Amino acid sequence: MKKPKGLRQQDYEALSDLRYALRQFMDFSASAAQSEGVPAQQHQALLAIKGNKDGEPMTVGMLAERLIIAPHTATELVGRLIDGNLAERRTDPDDRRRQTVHLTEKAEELLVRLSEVHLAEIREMAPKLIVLLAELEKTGSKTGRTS
Amino acid sequence: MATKHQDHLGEGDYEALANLRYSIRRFRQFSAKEADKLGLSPQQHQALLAIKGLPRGREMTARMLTDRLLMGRRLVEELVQQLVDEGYVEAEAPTKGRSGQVIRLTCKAEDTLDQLASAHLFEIRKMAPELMQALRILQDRQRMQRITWML
Repeated sequence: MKKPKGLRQQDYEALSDLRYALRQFMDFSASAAQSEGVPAQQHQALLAIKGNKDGEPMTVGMLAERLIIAPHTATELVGRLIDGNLAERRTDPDDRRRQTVHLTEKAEELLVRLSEVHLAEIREMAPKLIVLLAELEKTGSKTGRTS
Repeated sequence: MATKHQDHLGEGDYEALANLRYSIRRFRQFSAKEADKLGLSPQQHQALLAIKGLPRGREMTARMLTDRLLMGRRLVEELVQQLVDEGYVEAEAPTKGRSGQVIRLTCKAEDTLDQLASAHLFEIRKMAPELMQALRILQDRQRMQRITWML
């Protein structure tokens, strides 16, 4: 059987374990968001706005990029956040055509609670994930791209 | 007052959490595209990888696959049937006393996984540094919090 050089059974085990760990984390995260009454995607939108680089205000276009969704989907998502009193739109005073999305106090409080439980979960999973990533990174650099 | 709780988590933590999720999303997006190129859905690919990723000498059953994929039993049954129909796996009829149907990869599945694995390793090599950095920032934050509590 032909195999790309350097790809061993243990690499498949590490790949599979990595995906399992990521699934568990996403599953945990979606349940945590649900228990706060928000769909996972809305939670991710709030986190992306809150955690934008250097605290920069978020535009709908940037949000679409960060969430890897279509711009019109991001627009709808922001609409639902506004309906849920989780976000508000503001017009950029320096550029009247530019609108930014900001969190409400309700969203800030929700994110504090959700982020605290996420930090606890990450503390549990991080050591294993770091080992798997380091292992696969090493294999990846030896193997290179063969396809 | 309302902003007092901000003391627990700094802006850097939110940024790290947001970056972590972005890295994971990008990786999953990449993975789904690679699988799609070979005609597999992301779930089909993950099912094959889960079977392949079992330590040598162990066999995958439908029940184990349910646990591993974190999917409902019905959905996993459908997924396995699709994979059988498309020639990626062979499912042995369940025999008495076993914890469920044993599922094995075909040569076609092995070849497909080989093709996918090298592209994934390449992507992981790109993604791993930022993902590990986000994880370390968040881990350190926890450690610092514990130290603060002890003081």
